[in-house]
Amino acid sequence: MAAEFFIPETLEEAVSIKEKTAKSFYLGGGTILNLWTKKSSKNLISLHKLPLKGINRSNGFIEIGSMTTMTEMTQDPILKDNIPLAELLKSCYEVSKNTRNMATAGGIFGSRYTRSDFLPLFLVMDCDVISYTSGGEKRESAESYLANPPSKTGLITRIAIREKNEPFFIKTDRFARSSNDLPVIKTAVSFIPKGNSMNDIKIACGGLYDKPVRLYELEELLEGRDYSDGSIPELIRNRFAEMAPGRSDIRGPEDFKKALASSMIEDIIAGSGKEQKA
Amino acid sequence: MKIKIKLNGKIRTFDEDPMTSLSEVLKKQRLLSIRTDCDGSGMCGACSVIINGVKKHSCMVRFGQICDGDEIFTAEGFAKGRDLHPIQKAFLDAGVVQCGHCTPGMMLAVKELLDNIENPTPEDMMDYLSANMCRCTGYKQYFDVLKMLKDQPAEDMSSFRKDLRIVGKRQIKVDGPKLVKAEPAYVGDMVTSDALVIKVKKSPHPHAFIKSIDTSEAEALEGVELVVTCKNGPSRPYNTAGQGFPEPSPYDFRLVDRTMRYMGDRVAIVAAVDAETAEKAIELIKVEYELLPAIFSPFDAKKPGAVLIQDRDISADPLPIGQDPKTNRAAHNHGGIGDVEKGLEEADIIVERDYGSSRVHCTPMETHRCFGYIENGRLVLRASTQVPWHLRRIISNILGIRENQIHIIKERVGGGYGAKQDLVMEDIVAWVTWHTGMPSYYEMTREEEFVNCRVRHNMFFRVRAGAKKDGTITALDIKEVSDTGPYGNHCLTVPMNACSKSLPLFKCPNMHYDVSTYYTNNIISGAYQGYGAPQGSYALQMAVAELAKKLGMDQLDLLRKNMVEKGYHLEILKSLGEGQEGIAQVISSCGLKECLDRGEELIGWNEPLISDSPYIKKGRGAAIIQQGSGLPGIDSANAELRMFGDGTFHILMGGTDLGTGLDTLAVKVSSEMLCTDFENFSILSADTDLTPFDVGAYASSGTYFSGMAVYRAAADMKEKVLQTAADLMGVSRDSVKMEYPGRVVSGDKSLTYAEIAAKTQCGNGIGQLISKGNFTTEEAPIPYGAHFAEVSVDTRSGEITVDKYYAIQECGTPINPELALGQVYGGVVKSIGHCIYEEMKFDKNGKCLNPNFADYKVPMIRDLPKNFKCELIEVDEHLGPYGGKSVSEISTNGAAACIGIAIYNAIGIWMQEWPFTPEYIYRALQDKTDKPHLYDFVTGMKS
Repeated sequence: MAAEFFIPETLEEAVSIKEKTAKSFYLGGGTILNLWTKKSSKNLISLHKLPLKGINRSNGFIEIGSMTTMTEMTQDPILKDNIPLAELLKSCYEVSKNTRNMATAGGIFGSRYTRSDFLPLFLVMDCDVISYTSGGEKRESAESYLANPPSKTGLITRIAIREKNEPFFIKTDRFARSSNDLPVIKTAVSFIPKGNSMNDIKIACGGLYDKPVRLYELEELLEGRDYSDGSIPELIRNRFAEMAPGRSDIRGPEDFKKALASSMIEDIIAGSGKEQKA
Repeated sequence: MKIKIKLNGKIRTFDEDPMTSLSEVLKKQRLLSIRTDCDGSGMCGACSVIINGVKKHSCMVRFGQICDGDEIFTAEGFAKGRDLHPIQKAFLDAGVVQCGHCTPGMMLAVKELLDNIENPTPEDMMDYLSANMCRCTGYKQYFDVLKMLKDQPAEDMSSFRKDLRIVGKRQIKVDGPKLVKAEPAYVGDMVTSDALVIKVKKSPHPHAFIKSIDTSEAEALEGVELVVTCKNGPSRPYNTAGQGFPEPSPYDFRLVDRTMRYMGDRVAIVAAVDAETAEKAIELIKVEYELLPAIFSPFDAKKPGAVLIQDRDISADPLPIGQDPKTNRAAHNHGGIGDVEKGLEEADIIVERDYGSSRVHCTPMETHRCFGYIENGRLVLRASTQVPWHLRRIISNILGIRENQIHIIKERVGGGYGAKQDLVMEDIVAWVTWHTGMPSYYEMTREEEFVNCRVRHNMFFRVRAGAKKDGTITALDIKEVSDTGPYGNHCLTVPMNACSKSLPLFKCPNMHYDVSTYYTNNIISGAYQGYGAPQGSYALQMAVAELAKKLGMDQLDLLRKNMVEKGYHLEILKSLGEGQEGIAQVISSCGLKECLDRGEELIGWNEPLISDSPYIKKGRGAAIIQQGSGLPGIDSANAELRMFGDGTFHILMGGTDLGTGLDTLAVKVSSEMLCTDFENFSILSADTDLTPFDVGAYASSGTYFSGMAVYRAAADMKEKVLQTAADLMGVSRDSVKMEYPGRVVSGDKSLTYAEIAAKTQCGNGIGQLISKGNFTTEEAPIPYGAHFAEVSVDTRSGEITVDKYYAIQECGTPINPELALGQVYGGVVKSIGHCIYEEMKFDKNGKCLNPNFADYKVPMIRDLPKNFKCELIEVDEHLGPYGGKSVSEISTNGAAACIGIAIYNAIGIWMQEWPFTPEYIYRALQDKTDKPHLYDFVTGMKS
């Protein structure tokens, strides 16, 4: 049977179609889905007519509508003024202009892609994913959303990022072979600086495993440490050496990727001291 | 789904399947600016459109995502009538329209930029062009577009040949307006709706014998017109390389063979009424294979007892090139001057080291495509080819028909770089059209372009270099093993070129080379810009740099002491021929010293290198390079000029413009010679019926050979005009002279060209003035250059950044300076990509793992080095047209060597294999033992 293309006009209609139609997928900007469904017969539910665009403040969170494109994010005054979200904007600028014009906030999560430019960043923010299901609205942390299989998640309506009222450090780094490549490795680090110490440190990495992950054991090692501590690089390298083997593929062997991730995190932390002083 | 949209300002109703991509919908409307060059992966930007003010990849938008009332702007929307839009004009003025295939998407990127940012910076430019791939220009001159749109001065091109009126000056290229307007130009634009669609069934095995093949179900499928297999295809062997005749390549290829020699080899050809039917028929073909052992390394191929890949009779081969199929050897040659062993004995310091390179792909934006039809009982092929006459000759052999039954029309070529020097699929279209009598079209996908076209040879070298304590090089020896894949196109000439474009850079009395090429079950190697020179240059320059290090000499001092100069006799070229004895040359011009001096100054060669991290190490490197200007004694070119009735001229040139500006060069040379404006010339080139013979665009022959044929035709026309005018005025020939703009004077008498045309073409005139020019030669000017790089290497991860790159190129007179400079930028950027991330990867069965732009990365505008400059240096040259010599191809020869040397100077490790990917550098940093010998050239083992 030929694949069908649905254009729902309400959230309820979209969710209902999804539940009734086997092998169906929500279509946002299309930068990923249009690529991998091109040669296969998949039913598509286009979200372009749903009211899912826009960026608002709500109860201490900044909420980004799931159909908001990266370009729209870069143009929004709320994000521009917000320090934690500067890294989000930086990541937006790291993708090519056409992709930025098309890719959406919801698609970032929907793709669950390990080489995402964004997911490691969302993992180190206080970030929730708000979905719509036939059972109503569902809110869960970014990490929880990514931990569930796609079949158990609903239609993403908003990404909610907690605003920070205290000093907060957050930084990402990426390595890609060329500028229009998805990252081979993307890392993100956040913490609350108190004096020179790193508190509530969160570290995430994409590209090393099948999906972007928080590096809890490394976080434990570094929690409360002075970011200018000269032993940190060695701690990070040793921790990476002990981690489970990562993905080896045409973008490089896993030990090379670990070396990349390790050096990126070292540099972010070393640079954080300079940034705090500045 | 039926909707109304505003397309380029006009309301249009569309009724299409919502699943269809927007690019397909727009292409159906014959919007020729929409080009899908990446199989719809959103990686090239050639299909860009602006939807409601936002630029998107139309290949990644479904028609169902378009709404009633949406506004779509394509590049067709720029020009009003015949007038150019300022963006189109700026593109032409800046010289960024080379092959032109990326141009519509690029122009939309600039439009989006200017629509959103009033005063864009270069950084904004890079951001807005970040999605658009260009393989010709190296992106740098796009910044001139911005300047020109703001009426700011662009790069100064006024300093060349001040004594000439048009040669050496900026000039909108002759084919530029139609390219920026996306008028019909490329093969795909010419295809008629009744053309059969061709698809090819590919081998899933790297080496196999077809025991049986059943096409009955496929042939019975409605809409299938022809199925060709080894059972009904032609049996005569041929070679796909479009090079001099008799070809220095073996006849080891068949249209469809019974033996499959690489993963992707042709199993069957299907021609059907549409693509869907052809693909269905492909699935219905049943094949039973007998699997054979496969070989993926030339070192394995040469081992005694290795399975034979081309177990064939060599008597049909046109030339003896050292082929020995019984040992898998496709070609072999050796020779030299002096006595290398004696030279090594005289040396105080000797370097002996191995170097290797892997496969990279030309990746022209326009994939291979060909449209065939029958006209007046003759076969017509409209092709994107660099070699129309070789194509005609080879097709004539395959079909067993006379050459006068074949007409090849070379359309605009959307990027060649060597990829289109071979018959890659034109033989298939010819066979289908000739045997069905119906028009047929084959357009390769990007994946086919990667797997089934031609890639740069992977080569393995052992270099021995010796020098005295004072830095005098006493011996240079190259032993080389190359991998031709399963077929031997270019199997001798590319590997030979690795030596003939590297050894003659040095004044060394003892030089030797030994070149062997082997068959393997890898994909097919072939021509790619540089034609072996990048690999050879890398190996030899690295070895010479190591000599300098061991001698304790500065690298530039060693180069200066030993490099050739004008007037030097290159005896070595006598043995480095192309399947026949070569011709020794005396260097007619050489700007190596000027290039080295300028590069040294730009990069600050002796300035300290400062790193702000203990992990980041920095280094600099340099390389001297050369290429050729065609093949003296082998190549030939022809051209004609005709005077029209109003005194304007038409040029008929055999030379093939593959986007490089050869047609423009022909017009400029003629305009200069005949003292009349550029606009007074039209040109038709590379049409086997209508224009005279030319060997084609390869071996850097365009400017020199095709250009000289035009120069001579224009000189002949000049003489005819002068003599005719003298006769008409009743004065002596000696008393007349030609004057700009377009007249002949003698004292107070004068005749305009229009008057001369009217008098010669009237009923009692002498007839239309027609002139001819032919060019063959035994001497050719050599272009030289020097490249400099500064790199940073992260010693923890191997991450490498090219911080600075300077390419200084001497080119005699740059006839089209802005286009020439753009080609140098393009070649350099390509070769930086080759050094750091471009690499075709394969699994253990020879299957290509990255046949797409998502996984095979090529440089984009944001990948340019932070400090990046190419410069043209004019030198006095007497052989070429107005002093012109080749300029473009050479630019790929320097990056690997200068970056490799820079890496050594940063981290102290010689990079012996290319590309220098971060993971390769990481590995080298982990394992610091120096292993000069990587390969065993005797027993064929890789260490």
